[in-house]
Amino acid sequence: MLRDVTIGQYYSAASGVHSLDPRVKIRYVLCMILLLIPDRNPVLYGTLTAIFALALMLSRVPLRHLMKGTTGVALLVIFGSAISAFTTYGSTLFTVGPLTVTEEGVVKTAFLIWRMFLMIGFASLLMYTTTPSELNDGFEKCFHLSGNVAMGITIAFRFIPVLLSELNHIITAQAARGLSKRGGGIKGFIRRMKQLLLPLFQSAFDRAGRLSDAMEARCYRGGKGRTKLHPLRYKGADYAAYLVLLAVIGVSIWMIIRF
Amino acid sequence: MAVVYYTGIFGVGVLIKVRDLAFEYFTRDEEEHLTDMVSAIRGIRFDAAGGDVIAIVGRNGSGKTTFARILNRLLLPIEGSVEVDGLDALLEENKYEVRTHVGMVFQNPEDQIVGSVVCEDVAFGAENIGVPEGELSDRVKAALAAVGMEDAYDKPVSALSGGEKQKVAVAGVLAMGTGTVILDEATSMLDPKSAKELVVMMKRLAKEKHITVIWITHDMNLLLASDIVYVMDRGRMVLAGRRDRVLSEEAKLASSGLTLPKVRRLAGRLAAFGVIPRGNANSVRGIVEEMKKRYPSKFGVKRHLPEKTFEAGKVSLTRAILADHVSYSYGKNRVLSDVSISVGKGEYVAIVGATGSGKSTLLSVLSGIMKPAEGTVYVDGMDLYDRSTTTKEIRKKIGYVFQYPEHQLFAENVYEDVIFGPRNLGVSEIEAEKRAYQCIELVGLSQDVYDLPVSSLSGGQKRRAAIAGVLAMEPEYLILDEPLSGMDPEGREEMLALMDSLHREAGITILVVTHDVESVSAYADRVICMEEGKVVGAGAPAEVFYDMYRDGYHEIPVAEKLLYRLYEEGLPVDLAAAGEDRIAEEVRRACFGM
Repeated sequence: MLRDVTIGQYYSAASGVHSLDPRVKIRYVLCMILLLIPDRNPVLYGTLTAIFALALMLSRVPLRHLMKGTTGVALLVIFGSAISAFTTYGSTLFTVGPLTVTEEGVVKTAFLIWRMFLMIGFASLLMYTTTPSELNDGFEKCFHLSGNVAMGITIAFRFIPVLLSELNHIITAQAARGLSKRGGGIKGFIRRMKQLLLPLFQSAFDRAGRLSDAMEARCYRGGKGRTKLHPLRYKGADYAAYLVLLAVIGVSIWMIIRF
Repeated sequence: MAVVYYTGIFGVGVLIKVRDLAFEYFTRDEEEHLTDMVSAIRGIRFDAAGGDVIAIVGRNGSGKTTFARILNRLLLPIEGSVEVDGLDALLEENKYEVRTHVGMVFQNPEDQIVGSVVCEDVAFGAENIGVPEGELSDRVKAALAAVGMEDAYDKPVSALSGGEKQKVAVAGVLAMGTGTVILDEATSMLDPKSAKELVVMMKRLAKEKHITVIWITHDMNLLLASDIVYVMDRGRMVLAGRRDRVLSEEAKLASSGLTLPKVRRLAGRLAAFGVIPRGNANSVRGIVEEMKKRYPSKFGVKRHLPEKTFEAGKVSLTRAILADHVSYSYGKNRVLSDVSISVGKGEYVAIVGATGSGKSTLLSVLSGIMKPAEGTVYVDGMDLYDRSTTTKEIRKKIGYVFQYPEHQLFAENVYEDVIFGPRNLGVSEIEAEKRAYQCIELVGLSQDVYDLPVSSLSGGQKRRAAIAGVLAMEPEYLILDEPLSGMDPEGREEMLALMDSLHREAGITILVVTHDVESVSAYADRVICMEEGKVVGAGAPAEVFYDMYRDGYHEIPVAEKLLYRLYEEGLPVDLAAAGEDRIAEEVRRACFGM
């Protein structure tokens, strides 16, 4: 059900990864994604997988929690990538009807899936170990965003679960009034989407209005003059993490050249 | 490690002085021409000082929320003066300073929390006003300690209950150094137990920290926790003064659409019998103390309530709805375990229990919407979860009105929304039309709302429209989840009367989940009490309340509560008395004989 979606949700735990500066974590994820671009390098991919496993272990985010949150995305990736297995020229492995699966295609697909999984894995780990407001501060500093944009991102994440549960309610309520989920072709589909989205948007707008009142009542007036409960300040562990990152990049580049 | 909080962190309630206040709402058409002007409030006079607990009461639309928003400087009045701690609150440059003196907690716990983690949210306001970084975490900790949530410092907000979220919202206001807290219907979305906790907590803050508490509410029971009461009606202050003086003006309250708190009404009845003097009994305990003082000889030795002393008349049932060993889980969380209940044809059954006891889930299972993991549900012998049972068959039998059903309206106008259900059932267009008109009338909406856009209706009208949409499917069984939530006293009475007439006149079987135990005792034939996903009691209302009371759950009707407490104190009362009338009579008999 929709309520199981945990994408982008903070997972509270006391771990070294959680307490790292968000800037460090954001830069890690960016570097990992960049390093994953070179294709078909099993040694490099293996190393990065090991790094991911280590980070996951240190973060104390249960693997099951990570899997649960990303199952939907994972299925999408697998199906999407599988197409390349059929569309790559090379030595034929077997044929299914008009489709031909090639050896090269399978290898390519495997690497594609591997790469996507690591990218999603690193990004999820960032989300799970960093609160939206830390993330907000981190993005603000890393990409020189204005405070308002970053606040918008924070609030968007805060309301994902709220709106999902709302959507769930609407679906059930309409089912209770005998709404059938099928039929009517494209027209019926459009009508159903309208019936679903109308109350959802209505409620989202209402909420937005109430939230902005609540923020204003607490003296929010943009980033000006704001102080921070957790100001970003590098600690020893953060510098150490940057050193490790440099080492990883060095080794990876060596691997890219060597293998 | 003991943490010492210096009290200097907190602000104290400041003097607030409001004179001749007026505010108007304007509506304009697309070309910015004035189309309508509603005088929301006029001629308001109001005073508050540190440590006061004030209630501003009034029915929906009386202008109380508008007034609260002016105090917090979210709205700017057109006339009058507002002074906060000597500052002219209407000047633009004082806006933020006023807000640091007068904070606001809103109705919906979900829509006022900004942070995803508790400490971040509590810090939000303090960060905005630029509290130095070294001081922030002390403030957050002190504020959380003040609301009794120090352990939640780094909990995710999504893991909190509604009541806990409201406490976090209060902490967020306190952390700004705010000494005056306005709570705008802040208890209306909470269950009775959490609401009570919040009320007790605010009272303590007023006493210990000299914080001013202003309740904006239509829950008359909240008045009992306040010292000073202002009553608003049609934008005016119609009554103001010490609580007991205001409560003695029953007729004036009634004309403002308000009813006395239940315990006051009960005390009034006893006073009419001459059992206790007219006046100031504001709790069951107060009544008991008064009686003990006046009739010491009537009270024997203290005793415990017996196991069960009376046999309530058993209702013979043709079992129309039958839940057979039903279980349901959300992930690992088991919300219903082995629940078996039955509802007879033509019955009016209420399900009560604390939040999280599985009531709402049970309703969804009973109405054929959520397939239970184990067990099944039969309605008139039809297995709801059998493959051969179609959705249409279920929907013809069972109507389900969700909590806040008005949030799920989606058509362009009322008529289109109501006719949606019958059309889905595949009845003829003429029949569907007929039903739509009938049901809109049945719920007491007037003819002229038919083609109005849903958004132009009031909250109460929207709820009626939503119920009409369910009734138009002509169900034999109507299941309602908290149909009274968020309604003012008049709205509640009207909704209860509607349910009663559907039950009596239209012959519809009613199954309702509610927190309102008082209405249950007045209308329901039978009560089912749930706790932690299990049925812990089922039977006639008095019977179930008795068991609930004996199990230490005291959120039962005040009349029953008084009866049981008097028995425990040794007064020879007959425990079989049920309902306010008979109990008042029985208490009179126990004191005076025949």
